[in-house]
Order: sequence, then C-alpha cells, then structure tokens
Amino acid sequence: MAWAAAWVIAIPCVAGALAFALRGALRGLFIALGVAGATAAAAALVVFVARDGARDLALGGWLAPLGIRLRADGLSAFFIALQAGVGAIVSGYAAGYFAGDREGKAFWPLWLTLWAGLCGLYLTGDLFNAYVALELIGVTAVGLVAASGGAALVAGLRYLIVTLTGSLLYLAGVALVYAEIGAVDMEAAAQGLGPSPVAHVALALMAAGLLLKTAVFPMHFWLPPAHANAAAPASAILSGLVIKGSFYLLVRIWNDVFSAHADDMLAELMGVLGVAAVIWGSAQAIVAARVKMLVAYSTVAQVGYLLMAFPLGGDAWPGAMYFAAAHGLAKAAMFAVAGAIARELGHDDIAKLGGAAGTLPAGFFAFALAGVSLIGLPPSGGFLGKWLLLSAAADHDHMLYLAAIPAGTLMAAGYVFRVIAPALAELRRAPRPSPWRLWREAPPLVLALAALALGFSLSPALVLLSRGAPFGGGG
Amino acid sequence: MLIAIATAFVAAILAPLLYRIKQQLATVLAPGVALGLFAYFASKIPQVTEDGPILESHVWVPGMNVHASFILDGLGLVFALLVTGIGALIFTYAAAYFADERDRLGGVLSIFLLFMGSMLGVVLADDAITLFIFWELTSVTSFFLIGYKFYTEKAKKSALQALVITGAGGLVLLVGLLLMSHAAIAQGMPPEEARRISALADADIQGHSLYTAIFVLVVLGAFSKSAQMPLHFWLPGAMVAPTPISAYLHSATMVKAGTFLLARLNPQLGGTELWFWTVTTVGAVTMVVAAAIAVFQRDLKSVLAYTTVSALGTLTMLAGIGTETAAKAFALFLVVHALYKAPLFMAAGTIDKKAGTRDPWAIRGLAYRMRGTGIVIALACLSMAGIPPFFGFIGKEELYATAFYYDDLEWMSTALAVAAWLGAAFTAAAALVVALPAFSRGPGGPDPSKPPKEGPLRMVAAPAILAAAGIVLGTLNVLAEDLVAAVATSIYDAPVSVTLALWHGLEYPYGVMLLMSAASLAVAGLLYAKLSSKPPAEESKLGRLQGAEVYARVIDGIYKLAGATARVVQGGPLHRHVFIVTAVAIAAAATPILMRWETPQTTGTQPGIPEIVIVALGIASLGLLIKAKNRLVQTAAAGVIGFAIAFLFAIYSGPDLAITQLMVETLMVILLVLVLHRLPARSVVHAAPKRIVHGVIALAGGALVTVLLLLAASPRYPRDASDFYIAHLEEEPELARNLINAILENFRAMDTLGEIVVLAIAGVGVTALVKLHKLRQREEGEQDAGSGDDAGQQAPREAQNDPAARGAEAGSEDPADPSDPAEGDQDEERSS
Repeated sequence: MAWAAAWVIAIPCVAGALAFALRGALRGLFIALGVAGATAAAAALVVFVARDGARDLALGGWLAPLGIRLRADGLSAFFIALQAGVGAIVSGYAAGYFAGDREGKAFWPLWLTLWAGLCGLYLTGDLFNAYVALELIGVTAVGLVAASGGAALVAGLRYLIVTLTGSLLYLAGVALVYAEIGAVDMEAAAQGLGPSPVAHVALALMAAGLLLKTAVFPMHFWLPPAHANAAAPASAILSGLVIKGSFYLLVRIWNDVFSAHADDMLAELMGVLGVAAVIWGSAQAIVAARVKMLVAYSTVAQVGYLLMAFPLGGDAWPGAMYFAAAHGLAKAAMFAVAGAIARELGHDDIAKLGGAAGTLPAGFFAFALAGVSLIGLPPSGGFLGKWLLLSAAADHDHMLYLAAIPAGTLMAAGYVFRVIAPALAELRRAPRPSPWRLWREAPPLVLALAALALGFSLSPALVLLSRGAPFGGGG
Repeated sequence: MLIAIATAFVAAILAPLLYRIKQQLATVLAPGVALGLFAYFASKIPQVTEDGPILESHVWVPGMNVHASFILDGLGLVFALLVTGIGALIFTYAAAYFADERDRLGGVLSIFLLFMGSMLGVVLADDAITLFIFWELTSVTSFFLIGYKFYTEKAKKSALQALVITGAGGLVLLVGLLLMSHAAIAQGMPPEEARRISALADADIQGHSLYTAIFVLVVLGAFSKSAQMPLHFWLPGAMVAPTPISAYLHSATMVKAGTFLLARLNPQLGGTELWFWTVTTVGAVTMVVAAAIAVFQRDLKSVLAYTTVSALGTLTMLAGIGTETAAKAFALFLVVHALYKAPLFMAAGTIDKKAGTRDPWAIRGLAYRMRGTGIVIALACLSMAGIPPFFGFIGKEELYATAFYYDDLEWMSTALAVAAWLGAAFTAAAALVVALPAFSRGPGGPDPSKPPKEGPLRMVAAPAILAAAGIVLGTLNVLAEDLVAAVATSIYDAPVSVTLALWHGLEYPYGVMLLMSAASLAVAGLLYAKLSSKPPAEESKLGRLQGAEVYARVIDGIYKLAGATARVVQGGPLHRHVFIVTAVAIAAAATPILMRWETPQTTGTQPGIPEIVIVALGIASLGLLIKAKNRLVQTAAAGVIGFAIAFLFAIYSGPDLAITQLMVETLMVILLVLVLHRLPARSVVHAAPKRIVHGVIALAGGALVTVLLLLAASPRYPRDASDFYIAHLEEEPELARNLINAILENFRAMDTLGEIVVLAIAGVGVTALVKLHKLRQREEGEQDAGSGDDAGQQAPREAQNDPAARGAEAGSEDPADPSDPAEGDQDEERSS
C-alpha cells in the first residue's frame, strides 16, 4: 500500500524521461507502458485508500517535520482517480491526434512529467514539496501550450508569467510559515501555527497565488487564449486536469493547515469571486466566436462553482469535489471533440458549423452528452455536484449562491446549445459522415459517458472522500 | 411507480430498434405500452379512492438524504390516467399521421415514450430532486418534439424559446422546493421527513420568514410551464410542432404540469393572501384575455393554442381560490378540457393533412366530405362550449359554483362570476369558430377540384374515442364521482365528497347559473355571426403581446453586454494583466496585515559603512533604471542592483548565497544583452497618469515585501529545524561533508529531484520550441514555393496565425492600444 503512492509518481516520471530519450517503436512502447502503469498504480492506490483509510509514507526514511512525507487520504485518492481516469483516456486520444505529427515529440515527455507532477501534488504532505510540484506542473503545462505554436506561443508565454507569479506568491507564503514555526510539513504547520498575524498573511498570499493559477475571476484572463489555442489533447489536459491541481492545493491548505485562520471574510470573498466567475465566464462563452474559445470560457465559469464551497462548507466540500471531477471528464470530452471539429472542418467557427453533426455524428453526440453534465442536467455528475452545493446554500440561507447556481446553469445551457443547435441544423444538406476513427470518436464518448455515470456513483465517491476526514468532522 | 416510469423509458429505447426491424412492431409497441400503463393506473383507482395515497421510496444516494420518492394520490392518479390514456390514442394517431415521413417515425415514437415517462415522473414525484429531474426531462424532450422540423428557422427558434422559458422555470422551482424543505427543517421537522413534498403539508411554511421567496420561486416555475401571462408566448410559438405533438404536449399533458404543481402545493403553500391574490388574478386575467385572443385567430391550431392558455388560466385561478368547490371544479375541468382539446388538435391535424389548410374560415363544408372528423369536431366543440348533456357543461357549472360559493369577500364572488362568464363566453365563441364553418355551406371552401378525403381509420378513431368519452361522462357522470372526489381531496387536503348531476333544479344559485350559460352562448353566437360575415385579418395584432419581444431583447442584451465588457477587460497588453495580478496579490496580502497589525520586532545590528555604501549604490542604480530610456543602460542598472545584493549576502556571512546570486545575475545580464539586439533600442514610455498608477503599485509592492521580510525575521520561532539537521549530521558524518548538501541530497532529496526535473523539462521545452520553430520556417519556405498539399491540416493553423484573429480572440495583443506595439513580438523573440 505505502509504495503504491511512490509508484503513482515515479512511473509517469520515468516514462516521461524515456519518451524524451528514446526514438521509434521503443518510444511508443514505453509511453504506452507508462500510461498503463501509472493508471494501474493509481487504481491500486485508490483501492487501498478506500479500503484501509489514509496512509503516510516517509520518503528516504526521514520523518516529518524535517523529511518529506507523502500522505494519501480520501481527497488525494479522489483527485488521483480523476487524474488517472481522464489522463489514460486523453492519452489514447493524443496517440491518434499526434500520430505522424512532429508536435507529438514535445507532447509526450511534457504530458507524462505533468502527470507525475500532479500526482506528486496530490500526494505530498509537505508545503515546500507542494511548491516543487506546482513548479513542475507550471513548466510542463506552459510547454504543452507553447509547443502548439502560432497564437498558442504568445498565450503560452503569458501563461508562463502567470504561473511563475502564482508559484512565487505561494512560495512567499511557505517562507512565512517556515519563518513562523521552522517546519514546512503540513501537519506540523497545522499544529504549530498559533493565532499570529503571520499565518493569516501566509494564507492570503498562498490563496492569491493558487487562485491565479486556478484562473479565478478577475485573474482568469490568461486561461482562454492558452486553453483555446493549444493543441486539442493539451487543451483537454489543461482544462480538465491542470487547474484542478492548484484548486486541490488550496482546498488542502484551507482545511488541513489553516483551518484556524480561514476566516469568514476571506471565505465570503472567494464565494463572491466564484459567483462573478460563473456569470462572467458564462456570458463570455455565450458570445465566443470559436468552439474552443467557448469551451475555454466555460472553464472560467465552472471554476466559480468550486469556489462556492469555501463559504458554504459542510456538504458543499464533497459537492465541489464531485463537481470538479464531473467537470474534468466533461471538459476533456468537449476539447477532444473541438479538436476533431477543427481537424475535420479546418476551422472551429461557430458561425460555420451548419450541419457539422452530419460530418461528425459521434463527436457531436459526445459533445451533447458532456454538455448535459456541464450544464448540470440530471442525471449526471455535474447535477449531483450542483445539488450538494445548492442544498448547502439552502441550509445556510445563502441567497447569493441560491440565485447564482441556477443562473449559471441556464447560461451554460445557452452556450452548449449554441454549438449543438447549428450543428444539427441544415443536416439534410450535410455531406456524408467522415469515416469512423477509433481514437477520435471513442475517447470523448467514454469521457462524456463517465461524466453521466457519475450521476449514479455518488455514494462510493463520498465514502472515498471521507477517508482520513480531509474536510474535518467526517466530510 | 418507478416500474411504470421505467417501463416507459425502456420502451423508448426499444421503439427505434424495433422500428428498424419491423415498422409495425414499433407502432404497436408505443400505444401498447401506454395502454398497459393506463390499465395499471386504472387498477389502482379503488385503492387510492378508498385507502388514500400510496407512497413509494427508493434510496438514490445513501447518506446524503437523496431519495427518489413517489406518491400516488387522487391528483397524481388522474394525471397519470390522462397521460397514459391520451398517450395511447395519440401514439396510434401519430403512426398514421407520420406515414409519409417513415424515416423519422421511430425517433418520434421514442421521444414520445420518453416524454410520457418523464410526465409520469412529474405527476408521481414526491421529493424536490425527483420532481426537478422529470420536470426538466419534459422540457428537454419537448425541445426535441417542438424542434421536429429543426431545419426551419422558426422551429429552431420556437423550440429554444420554449426550452429557455420552461427550463429556467424548472431551475427556479428547484430552488423554491429546496427552500421549502429547508424551512420545514428549520421549524423542527426531521430531515428524512422534510424531503417528501407531501409531508411538508404538516409544516407551517406559510408562517416561515422565507415564505415569500418560496412562493415567488414556485409560482414562477409553475407559471412558466403552464404558459400564464405574461410568460405565455412560448406556447403559441410551440405550435410549429407537428399536430400530434401539439395534441399531446400542449393540450393534455406538459402544459398542465404547472397547474398540477399549484394544485399539488396548495396544502403546503396555499391559503395566504399572497397566494390567493396573485394566483387567482393571474389565472383569471389569462383565462379571459387568452380566450378573447383565440376568437380572432386565422389558424385552427392558434385558436386551440390560445383556448388552451385560457383553460390553463382557469385551472390556475381555481388553484388560487383553493376552496372546497374550487378543488372540485379543478378536478372536473382538468378532465373536461383534456377530453375535448386533444381530439380537436387531432382533428385539426387531419384537416391540415387532407385539406392543406388550417384556416378555420377556409374549410366551409368540409365536415360533409370528412364525416368522421366532422363528428369528432362537433362532439368536442359541444363539450367545449359547455352545452348539456356534455361533460363540459358539468365542468362549467362547477366553475360558476366556485364563484357563487366563495363567501370570504362579497365583491370578489361577483368579480369571479363575471370573469368565469367572460371566459366561458369567449371559449364558446372559439368553439363555434372551430366547428361551424366546417358545417356551413357557402363560399370559401377548400379547392373544389381536389376534394379532401377522410383520413385513415386510426386518425379518426383515436380522437373519436376521446370525444365520445366527453358525452359518456356527461350523462353517466356518476362514474367520475369517486375519482373527482379523490382529486379534490388531494388539493383541498381534507376529505371532499362529490355528487355530480346535469340538473340541479332552479333554486339559487343554479337558476342564475343556467341563465349565465344561456347568456354566454348567446354572446358567443352573436360574436360568431359578426366574424362570419367579416373574418378577422390574417395578421392579428392581438397575438403578438409583449412577452416574446422582451425575451428577444433580453437575449440580445446578454450578447451585447458580454461583447462590450470583453473588449475592456479581456484584451489588452501584457502590462495590464501584470497590473491586475500584482494589485490583487498586494490587496490579498495587505488586508490581513493591516487588519491584524503587529509591529514587527527586529534584533538587527546597526548597519556599518560598507552596507550603507552598497545599499546607496543599489538605490542609485534603481533610480537610473527608472529614468533611463535606453534598454542597454536599463540592463546594466538592473545588473548592478543584483550585484549589490550579492555583496550584502557576502557581508552577512552567506558566501554560498552570494556566489549563487552573482552567477544568476551575470547570466541574466548576458542573456538580456543577447536578446537586446532584436529589440528596439529605446523602451516604451507610458503616459503620465499610467506611470503614476504603476508607480503606486510598485511602491505598495515594495512596502509589502519589506513588511513580509520583517515579519519573517521576527525572532519568535524555535530553531529546532537547524538544530535537528546539525545534530544528525554530527551523528552520521558520512551523509555529506556539509550541511547544505546533506539537506539537499538527503533530508529533502525529493524536493531536489523535483527541481532537477523542473529544470530538465524547461530545457526540453525550450529545445523543442527552437526545433519546432526551425522546422516551421523551413516548411513554410517550401510551401511558399508552391506545394499546396496537406491544406486541410494547415488551415486552422493559418487561421490562428492571422494577426487580426489573434488580436480579437487570444486577447494577447490589443490592436487598439498603440502604446506598446513591440510587446507581442518581443515575447515571441525571447522564447525563440
């Protein structure tokens, strides 16, 4: 059990190095082995955590608070499951997308290292180690954007500045914690940080940095160009998985390290930013001109719901986590379809989508299914996540969120239908369907169906999330 | 009950599959399933009428109090019977109606069955989540049904409009229901109980502080679904759907869901002044105005659509009044309306198919050529006009009785009677408009060279059964008594006994009611006679009320607003974004510092001469950096600042830090100089106001970092970390020769490994970019030379490279901002 946590990080890391070093068939073999191995290790870890509860692993035999400790509790396992599930399917899509394409050469080492970085972030029990993981994620993610070339290069450089600034702010917070208690272990920090102002400042700095990396309104400006201009597999990874990393870390330190310092005012502020993000992102998605831009703006909006958990607390935590998972699946599916649209039609202008569903029937079907979860229509993971958030809002008489969640849902329906409706229109004049390609049709369908299937699997997820009581009490 | 709903859904999946194998199978399956479910619900009648509601519950998410709960009471039962019974007949009719569009019939039947299952879910649901799920499913399935002719602009627009209005209503309703159970829990009801809607009748929600909010939310949801004014406009628009769909969704089932909800929630939310005045007034106004509009339509389906809106208004009004008589009238009128409206829609569809017109004034004499359809129209319209011995007469009598027996307020009783009479008069006139032209001889008939023929048997028999039920229930009205009583009991939340009769004698108020009926028929006759001599204009202005325009404006407004704000916030040069990020970061960190201010304590020594000199040098370089315009000078000044810091490290016994800093600074200067030759020599100077704002932000940032350093340097922490490391190193000297190395390579090796990977990846990224750049340059050169293959792959990339598209979409460069023209290029060059 203990070493499953190490394998989850080590396998994709080694595979990433091999993907860079090797050439030809051997390279493909090791990439496949790496993805399969990382997924298997993640599955094993999730099973262990679900069965036996949270576990610690002291790396190199040095115990906390001085050495680095890996810790797998329900929250970590939940996000690792999301990472491995979406990651494996997107890898399949990418294998087809990049077949015979030079961009793939840069993609695989970056993506596999990114995988290792995200898993490291989910598993680490050390504030500074989390910073290292953040840097790893940031650099690889920027690489994925920039390697797509063209407009993505400019967007990628802006993303680089943002991600480095975010890390720097987080690091400043870690420095303050270290100055205060002389340790960077999360548990030690949680116990050692007294009611000093330094802890509040540290939390504020770390939260600002992580919110910037999560693209929370009004610090979201970098996301749409970066996510919309990257190659489709990269966009799916960035929107579906990468922004969840910094969000996870924020949830982690909020609940585990700074539970005594996370005051209501800061929580309310984050909730208000979340509401603003929902409205703003949705409105922008409604007017976006390109499919990928629309999907990217919808990410800005969906991140807003995640933030509502901070002021709501209680059941809203597992609700937001569940919502994050549903969003990861649905968003990856949508970007995968958007990539197929751009490849097949030569553009992704919404105005010129007329009858496109006739060309890519399976693709648009997957887009619609993913849309069901993204909008939050029942039965889907998105719906249950929103439902838990809504119930929590009703329990606390939070009228703002009670109003914002349905409003965002309606707007989401608006922008999803903006893609579906023209694609279905003029179907009779559309050309014959383009030939079926497994890599292109299957992954988004599987992802979208998984997002819907989450509508029926809330209780095992809740059991998993409660392992190690990451949200205090018992989640 | 879950089984019943699941049956419909399973049949919905099977129907298109069976249709591919053999068409007859699907056309038998759909009505068969509906009929079976009708029989199932009919078999429950004795149990419900005698023993009361049947409850059922399934756990959906254990531990989260999310269940799928159902209730079968009188109200739900009569709705279930209508949904399945009318469903069976309409599925039969539809199979003949769509005979010439065979390729789509399988799909239509499938969505019909889906819709039937969802509708059953709505009327049987007993908790907020289940109700919401099925409520929205009816919205979504109806979107596809209304959008049947999706290739026409009108169908697309109407379908989306209906979805937005009813879908938004569903969301609002969900919040209202959620707050209802929340209010009940706040009043001390156990959560397991409060999730059941039926159990909430025991709570005093009317007395809770959230009542007004709950009321507004629930009523908005109900009004949107049941097309109450001013939210009614989507329903006439939805008539673009093929007629079987209108007959099913827009007469008998879906539109009734809103009135169903009002009736269902009458025990929980009704009985207050707010409820009475709002619901009754909106219902009464809708009833009268919509019926008046109906008379002047030139399209049979529009006449029927507006009379449907009017009938929904009647039901809403009755739900608002909420007395015992009103509950009885609701139950009766519900059945009455379904029994005459559905056959009329079906007849209109048959006429449309066979005569090619839906203008009521262009089908004179049609009834003599299409006798079966003519009889259907006659029977249904007699019930609609409220003529004895049809069921419609009993419904109308009960409606009048509601007004007369309303004794809380005398003038209100009169007002209700007047409204009911006006509604009945206009509805009767509309019935005459539908029926009489078809039976009258004279000019204006269909094209005599192509005499219309009667539709196939199924298209006549299906509506005929329903229309005949109208006269059967009218004469043998004892049959309906128990069921009507059960429905009224559900609404009134107390036992109600019902005795139906066609003849009540002449004493007050029945004599007056008979007079009113006669008068309304007379008025209807006069109105018809006037219209008959001069039919209304083709384009009726009455039909276009404000709702649709407001809807269009709101949608338009969202587009405009989002577009305008995007230009301000989204685009823009890099420095604007850096500005936002920096400002947010400073605000985030400064707030807790200022709120919990503690003066930092320092134990620093007094600075000596060398420190003062070095710091002064650094500050001077900083001034130079700000003042200089030449990029080379700026680079040199930045370098000097870095070197000054390195010297400070050296003075305070940190030689390792000093060396690192020196190396980093040296490299930085070299790299910057290397890049410089590809940039303009002079840097950009912003206008004065911008410079001041930037200066303020920079000063604030500097102040913040100073305070942070002082906070971090305050001597309050235990030094156990370094003590531990030193102790361990002394114990195990083989770990490393120096402490820093021991930490890097041993205690925190994972961090070091991670940082090495970060650097390696950065290297990989840069290498890949450089290679990619070169490859592209070469390829682009080749392509310019004339090789044009692989165009499909290249097109999107070219679009991305288009500078205009980049400016508008990527938000990375703002063409409107001339202050920093070099920025985008600068970034690109640096990476290359």
